This record gives sequence, structure tokens and C-alpha cells, in this order.
Amino acid sequence: MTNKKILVVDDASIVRLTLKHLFENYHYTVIEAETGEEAVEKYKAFQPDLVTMDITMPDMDGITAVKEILKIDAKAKIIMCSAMGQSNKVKAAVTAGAKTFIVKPLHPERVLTTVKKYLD
Amino acid sequence: MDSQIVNQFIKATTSIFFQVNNVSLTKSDLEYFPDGHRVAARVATILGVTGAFKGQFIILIDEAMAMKIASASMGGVPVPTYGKLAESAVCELGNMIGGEASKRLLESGYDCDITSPRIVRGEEIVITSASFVSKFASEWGELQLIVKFDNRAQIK
Repeated sequence: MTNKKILVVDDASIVRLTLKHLFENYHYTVIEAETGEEAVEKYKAFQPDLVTMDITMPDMDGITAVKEILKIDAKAKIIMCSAMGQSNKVKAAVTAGAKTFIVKPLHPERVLTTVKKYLD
Repeated sequence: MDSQIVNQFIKATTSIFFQVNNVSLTKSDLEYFPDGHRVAARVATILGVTGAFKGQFIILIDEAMAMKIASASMGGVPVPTYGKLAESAVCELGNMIGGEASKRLLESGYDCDITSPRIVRGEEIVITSASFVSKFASEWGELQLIVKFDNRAQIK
């Protein structure tokens, strides 16, 4: 049993649900956020061990949210999970401070391997 | 320029649909409507495109296909009714198609962004400007892709 917490940030409920099931199957505790703004608030409240972050979201986009979270915790581990995989978006996310970038569609094995790499 | 843009959306649609659903789409028809047109639509997913190409792309399917996409997106969990989950899955499919098309367009020198998807349901939608309509057949039924240009002068 792990006590690690993962904050899943995505405006698509189906993505949050799919990642929640995946992570809970491996005994991670999952917190969900639907927007960048909500992600920043939940990061402050729950201090998760890792964040998966979408880019295109209402209110505050994922790249801005990465910058805001890193202001709160410079050691935050954030993995971008986005459909917007063009090189300029990947570069912007990594420059903002994301650890890595997974392009959707999300493959469960790839997501788990990446999460474990940064958590273990 | 315009045929290249439309082709990238067609390639993105077939590639992402297969990756998500493990179902092949076969392009059966491609038509150009210079003055817009009306099209039958049960579930229309509409995404805006900004940047080097300004317009929209629209994915048209029926509710049964939306439920199958939702089920496939969740690793085969049955989705027996059309609702928010099915709409979320279809929107996410649209996002992924838009992302893949943007990536391909950037590689061709066109830097575009995709806006958040929205769903329109009904019997018919009206396209008011120049558009390409591509029809695809699959074992789950028909999917139509509309690539709509906001600026008619772009069409060559």
C-alpha cells in the first residue's frame, strides 16, 4: 500500500475517471481538479507527491498552472498529459518546469511507468 | 495550402480514431462546399482553429458511436446510455484529433491552436462558409469530418 498522492488535472471527466481508476488500482490516492485554477488550490490544500496536468483548460491553462504551482513548491513533480503534442507546446511546458510530457492518447503502461519513475 | 490543411485533419482523424478505439476508418467521400451547406447531425463536436489557419473542424457521429468511443476510452467498461461521460469522451477524441492535426500542420509550417470543444446535438447543423466534408465508414457506423474555413479567400 502506497501513501503517495497524485493530483489529476484535466477538464475532461473521462480522462480524470480513467486516470483515477488506473492510479487507484496501484494504490495511489487520487485528487481531481478540472481547471488550472482548481489545480493550484488543490495543490496548496493537499500537497500531492505528483501532478498530471492537461494543457487546454478553461480559466487557467495547464502551462500557467505549472508556473503557479512551482511558485508554491519549487520541487513539485508535474507531468504534462496533453493532446497538444506539437513541439512548441512541449517546449513551453518543459520550460515552465514540467518534468516530462506525455502526448494523448494516454496508454496506461506508459503513464504508470512515467509516474513510477518520478515517485519511486 | 488548403488541401494540405484538410489532408492533415483527415490523417489525424483516421490515426487518432484507430489509436483510441482500435477501429479503422475508411474514407468514402470528400466534397467541397464553397458557400456552406446543411448537414444531418446527431452529435456534432465543434472545435475552433486559430493561428495560421482560422476556422473550425467538426466531427459528426451518432449517439451509438459516442457510447462506443466512451467505452473504448475506458478500456472496455460498458457505457450503455448517452450522457455526460459519452460527451466527454467525444470531446476528448476531438481534442486529440485537433492536437495531432496541429502537430502535423506545425511540421508543414502552419502554427495553429485548437480551442476547447463543444457539443451540439440535434437533427441538422448549418455551415455558413466554405467547407470540406469528408465521410468515413467504419464497423461502428459513419463519421463525418467538416473542415470549415472562416476566410473564403483561403480556398484555392
